[in-house]
Amino acid sequence: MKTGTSRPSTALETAGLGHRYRQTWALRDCALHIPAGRVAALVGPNGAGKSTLLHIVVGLLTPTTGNVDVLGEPVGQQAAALSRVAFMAQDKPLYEGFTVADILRFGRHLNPQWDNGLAENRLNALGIALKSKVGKLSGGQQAQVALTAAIAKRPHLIVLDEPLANLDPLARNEVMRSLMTEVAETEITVLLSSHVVSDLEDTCDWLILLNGGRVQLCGDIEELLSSHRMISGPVELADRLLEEVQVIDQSRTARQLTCVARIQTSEPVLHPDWSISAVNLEQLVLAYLRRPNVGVLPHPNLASA
Amino acid sequence: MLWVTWRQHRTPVLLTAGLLLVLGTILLVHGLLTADFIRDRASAGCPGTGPDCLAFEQEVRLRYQQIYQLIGWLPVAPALIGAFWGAPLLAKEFEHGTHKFAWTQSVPRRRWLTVKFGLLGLTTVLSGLALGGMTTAWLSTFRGTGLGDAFGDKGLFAVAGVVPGAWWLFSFALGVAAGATIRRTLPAMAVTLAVFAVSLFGVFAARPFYAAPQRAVQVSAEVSPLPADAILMKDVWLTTSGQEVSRATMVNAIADACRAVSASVKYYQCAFEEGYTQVVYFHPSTKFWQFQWTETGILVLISLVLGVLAFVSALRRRI
Repeated sequence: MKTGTSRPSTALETAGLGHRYRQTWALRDCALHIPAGRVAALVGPNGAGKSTLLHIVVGLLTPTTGNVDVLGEPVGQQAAALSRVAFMAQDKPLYEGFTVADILRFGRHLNPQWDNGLAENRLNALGIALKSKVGKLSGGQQAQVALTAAIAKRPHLIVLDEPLANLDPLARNEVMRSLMTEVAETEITVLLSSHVVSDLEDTCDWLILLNGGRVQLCGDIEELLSSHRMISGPVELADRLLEEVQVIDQSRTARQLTCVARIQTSEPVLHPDWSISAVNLEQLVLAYLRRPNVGVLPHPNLASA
Repeated sequence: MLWVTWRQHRTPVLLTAGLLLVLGTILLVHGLLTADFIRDRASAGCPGTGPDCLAFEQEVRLRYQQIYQLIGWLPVAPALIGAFWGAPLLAKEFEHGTHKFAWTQSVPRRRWLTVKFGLLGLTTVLSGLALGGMTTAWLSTFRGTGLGDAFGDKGLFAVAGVVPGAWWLFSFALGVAAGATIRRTLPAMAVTLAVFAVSLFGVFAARPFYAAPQRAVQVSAEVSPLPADAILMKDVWLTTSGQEVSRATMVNAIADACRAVSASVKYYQCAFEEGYTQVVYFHPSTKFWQFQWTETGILVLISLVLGVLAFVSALRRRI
């Protein structure tokens, strides 16, 4: 995985990852990877196992089966492994009685690579006073403090569990923008979960679709979009269409068939009665979520198919 | 971790230190004034049989009672340590989700738990020992007055000597274990208080069994075989044939002979003359330190078990 002294090109890789709570498997046989420097979206319905997966990646949970590597090294409860990954949990928990300065001091005492200057500059730019009590800040400001603490840790991988939940649209935009600024300036890899796909379209370039505890899709968003089409046309021609493309999800009326399909070549040559259009991320995700048994592929390397 | 532990727990620690300081000051001032008072009267031959000694004894007793009212409550003080230091330690983190923040910094959870348990555990032990030292010093001013029996008095025993350190540690560990397993602050505090109360009475009841009691036989009707400040386990009566019988049996047996006697001293004399001698099983006050260390050992052992339970529970339980 490692080539010389340079960073491995894979930021996160899991193999055979599974987690069981008593009798039920929250995650099963998950194989996924994120290339270094990507902003990856972990998408799936509620209860798909997103938080479980993220908790395993950051070392809070020990998986029942399989393993997780961050930059080629296993994650877990060792100081070195913990220092490589930063985490912002759902609801952005922080000590409410602490001042913002206390939070920074907390981070400085517990992290060897802590960058206090970075943290202070960020908060300064955001207009958050160091002496304010965390509990008195707005939801958006608390999210910014939590994000600052995660970034100032100087991790290779930053993991955010539903970072935009419970934030108003303005705060969502600001949190996302400040995260993207940070990503642009460093080589940091981001993994963030959300069940609102529209929040991710502009910011993420890698998609992991988790459904019922299994990885349904894992790949570059542009590649995924370019290899799928929205196709609609007369329902009588449906049989012939099915021979030519892999239909992921379809809906039929008496006369019309509309489907999201995976295509083999750059532009399929179909009967002229079919109208073909591009899919957006939301349509793609919905199509797969409706068909949980389709596309459970570890690496859908579509270009080579 | 040192600063982190201090920052997160400074409020209860400072509050406890403040209360101990206030208590210590009260005991010190009171002890010094009482010592002066006793020294002043020593020239008049008190305590003793001198003419003014009755008033002296009353005054000393009054002074003792003033503080005893306060100290009498201190055996339950560790319950507050369990509820306010111990129970929130993990429960508050779980309740607010902040454990996800704390345990994803670069300090492994094992180390985080070890440092917090260790530092706060040590602080509770030192606070408990400080309390024990203060109480013991204050009690020593009443030496020779027949007051301040830290061996026979169940409550005083728990706040004198080294045992308070163990009691404070035990309560802290109990609170931490309750918080780690229940994961909610208020229920954990309630369970801590309830279990502590049961434990306190349990240990009070178990204390006489720390050692085999000594046996003493009455030699004359006027002198009780029980030494001062001893813990009485049971008293029985010895017949002339050397058989131990209960008080009820003895009362029945001499019912006819001693019927006319009403005053208790004379009644015992009558019993003695009838051939019954009193036998007592007891712990002499010289066993004070043996009992202190036994109780300390038991409580420290339970504390360690609770600590391991909390540790394992915090490591294993789902996030």
